Amino acid sequence: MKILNGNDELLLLTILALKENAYGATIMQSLSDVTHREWSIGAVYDPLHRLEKNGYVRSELTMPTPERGGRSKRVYKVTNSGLDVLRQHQSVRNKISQQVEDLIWNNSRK
Amino acid sequence: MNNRLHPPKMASWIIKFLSGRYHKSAALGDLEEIYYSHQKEWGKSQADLWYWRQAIISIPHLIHNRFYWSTTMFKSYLKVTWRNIKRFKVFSIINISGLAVGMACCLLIIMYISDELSYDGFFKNSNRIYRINTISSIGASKRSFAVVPSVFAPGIADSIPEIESSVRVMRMGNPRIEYNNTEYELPQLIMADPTFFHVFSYQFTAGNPETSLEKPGSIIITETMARIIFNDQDPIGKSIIPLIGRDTKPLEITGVIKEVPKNSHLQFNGVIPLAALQYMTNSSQPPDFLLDPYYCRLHAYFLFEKDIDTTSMEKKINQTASTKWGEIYAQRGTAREFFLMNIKDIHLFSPNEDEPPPKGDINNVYLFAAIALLVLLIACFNFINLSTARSAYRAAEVSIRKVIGSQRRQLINQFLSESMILSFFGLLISILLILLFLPAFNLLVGKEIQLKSMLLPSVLGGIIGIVILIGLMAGSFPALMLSAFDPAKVLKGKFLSGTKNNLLRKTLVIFQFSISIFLIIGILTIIRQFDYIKNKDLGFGKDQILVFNSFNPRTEVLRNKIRDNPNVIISCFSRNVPGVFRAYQGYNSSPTDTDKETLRAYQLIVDYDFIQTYGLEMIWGRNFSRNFSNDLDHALIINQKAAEILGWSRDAVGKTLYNMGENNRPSKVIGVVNNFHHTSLHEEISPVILELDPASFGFVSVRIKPDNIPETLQYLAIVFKADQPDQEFSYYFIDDAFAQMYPEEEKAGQFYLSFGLLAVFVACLGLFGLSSFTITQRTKEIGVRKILGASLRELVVMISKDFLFLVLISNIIAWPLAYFIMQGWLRNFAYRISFTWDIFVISAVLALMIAAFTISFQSIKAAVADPVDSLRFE
Repeated sequence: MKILNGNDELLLLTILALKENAYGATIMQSLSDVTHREWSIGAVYDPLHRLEKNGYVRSELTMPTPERGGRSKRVYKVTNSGLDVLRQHQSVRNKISQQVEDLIWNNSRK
Repeated sequence: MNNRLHPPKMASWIIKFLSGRYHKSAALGDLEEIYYSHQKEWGKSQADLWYWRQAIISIPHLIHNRFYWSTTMFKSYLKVTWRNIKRFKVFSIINISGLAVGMACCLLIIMYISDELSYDGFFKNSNRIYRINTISSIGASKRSFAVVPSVFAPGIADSIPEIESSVRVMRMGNPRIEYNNTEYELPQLIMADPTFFHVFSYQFTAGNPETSLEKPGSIIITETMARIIFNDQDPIGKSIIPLIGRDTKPLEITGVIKEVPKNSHLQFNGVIPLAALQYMTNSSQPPDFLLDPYYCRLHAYFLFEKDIDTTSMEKKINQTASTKWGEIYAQRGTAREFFLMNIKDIHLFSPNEDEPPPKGDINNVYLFAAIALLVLLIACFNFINLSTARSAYRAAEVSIRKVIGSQRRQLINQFLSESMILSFFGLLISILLILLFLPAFNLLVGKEIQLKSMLLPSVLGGIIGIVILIGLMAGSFPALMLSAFDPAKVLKGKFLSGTKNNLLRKTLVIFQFSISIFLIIGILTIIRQFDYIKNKDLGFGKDQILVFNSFNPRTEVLRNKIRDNPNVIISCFSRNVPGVFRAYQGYNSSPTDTDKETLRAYQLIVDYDFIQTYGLEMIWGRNFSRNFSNDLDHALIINQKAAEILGWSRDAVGKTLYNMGENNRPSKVIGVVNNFHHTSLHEEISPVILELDPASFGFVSVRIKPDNIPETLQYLAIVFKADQPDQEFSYYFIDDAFAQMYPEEEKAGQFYLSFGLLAVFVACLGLFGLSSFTITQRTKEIGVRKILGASLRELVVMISKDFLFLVLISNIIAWPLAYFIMQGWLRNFAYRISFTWDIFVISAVLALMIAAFTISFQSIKAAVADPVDSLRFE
């Protein structure tokens, strides 16, 4: 199975969650909220580019808008291939999780 | 929305600059969106801060992105290039190897030139160290030497404050050294003032540079010598005995220095102070030669306090010299002028006659650079030609890409990248070639260039520049051509034969062959000139003349013993012989009349048998004879050239000449001898004057019969050893000695030969590849003709015709160029061949033959092919 970066997985999930509204600015903010860390524009676009090259997401340029100083927006969507990968990851995690769930949540020195 | 304040310009510029085209717009847009919302919430200054922060934090990510993108693109170009190489295997091999050979040649030459230009630059003060040289004029003839009188340097240094330090250096040959009852050879010992190591910053591994030469009884040796003599022991404080002269005392080792770098005009393995001679002979006075104000015997260097203006400093020095010693020079009939040379310029620019080998010449450097350029050009043209030719095959691929929608920019990028990648492959292979051939190259040019000199900035810069340049040039042709055309036309098959392409190809082939023919002519000329020099009549007659050194002033016994051998025709003793450099003397035909010509003559001091031994002919007058007692101190024999200069002929006999070096001592001319060569054929025969001294003994010349030479040699060796048991019998043949006077030219000749051949080879590679391409294009035509009944010969002729015609044109271009340049080179020799038309014809024929041979592979293959296959060819 194809292994994803933790970072990349996060990105894909975020894009999915944002549904139709997944573009640079929103992805940035969403990620920053969830991880409580600041994501810069570069930190978002660099992995996104790679993901796109690998075929896990695709993007489209929309019409320019004045809020963006007359520039277009690049909106991202997760592809089927990306969904596949996410599913694989999820299933593997589920398998392992069942076994170690206790350990993760209830790890105390006995 | 109005009243909008923009985000900080600088920060957005950073993002703009670093982002790839893909993301630039969207990224900026995203940031602006958030910026404005922050601006509303926090106000402009906070928002600006946030924006700046974003920009700076993004920098590493954006850079990483660019890298990633470029590498991926690059990987894909690499794949395509590799695929294309495999697709056109033979072609690509020819192309890349031609380029590799060209690059390797060029790089080797660049390393050589780099080395030549680096001589003596490694001292700490190289910029401020100058050597003082002498121009000595007797009458109308001027000659320059690297040596000055012994008192010169200290005398000048006292009077000129800008001179921080001065040092005199004298070469002492290769004496043997004794230590612990074993003898070792010391290759090159020098004597110097104690300031030597202050001026020249040689690296000491033991001992103190400032004080090591203070004691008269000291010696400094190199690490290698120390290792040879002492193995691993510390040499400091130990004593060794140099066997120079008759009185030898041990000298104490006060210092050890690292090996003297090869790129220096001053090579040595041991240094002793000038005061050592006095020390070793236990005398109270320094030796005479150290106090002599007239004879030029040693080298002198000045270290100036700061950078100087050479001309004005020279003026000062000449003025001082003239004040101090002008009269002395005038008394001896010489006018002396002195000039400075920065040590870095000595190796390449010295006009002096007496520089020790290996002597460099800036003209050689220029010439070699030209050759490097030529070879590279040929390789380049090849590469461009072949790449362009092959790109025609890619037309189909390109059209499809265009139809799909590649942008022009991308196509251009692709071709340029491919071309650069190939060029880079060429570089890799050329480095391999250099690794393999560097030792051979070093042998060829007599240097010890090391691999790591490839890492010198000048060389590296050259390499990178060349690779990029070639890649760009070769890539831009197909790139521009292919990306510009109409895809429809190509897919229909009309692209391959464009007239513009053909013209380009033809021009390049003509270029290549012009250069090759030029090189061939050059090589033939050089070979001829050397042949001429080696075999030219030196004026000594046909027999072999053997010369050896003799050290016993009592010559009778040796003389008779030599005569006893039946193979000896005649022998003589003299103080010097033709071919051995000796000072020139000034002679005056009239001491009072200053209008009369002053003669500067090469002086030979000989015995009665010299003329006969050397097979010389008396044109007028007579030889020295025992019948005339006056001959002993008052007779001179002059050569034809001397007579010519003085304006005498038959009337020379009986005229008087005054020896200006000996207070105008008068002598009568008793005869005029034929001209003979006494120095290398670089120079014209100059006036020669023979004086008689029957007691001379330094050189023994023996004229021997050509049969049984080994026997004769053995006999002479035995006889010599009996006469002088502790001397070595070392002999040489006069014609060999003269033949060996051109080491630089020989090296240069071999160099031109090697690289000329390489250049021709590369040109042939190009022709091979090109002919293969063109012939493939005409396969159908050839097939049809064959069916219609053309014979094999007719076909081959038809195919080769065009190429051979190009070669012929190249001849016409190359001839005038070659003529002009080789004439210039020949002017280096006073005795030279003249250009005969056969050289040109031979070169033309050679070139045609080589070209025909190269093409024949393809043309015969095509002519023999089965027409059925040819017609099916697509």
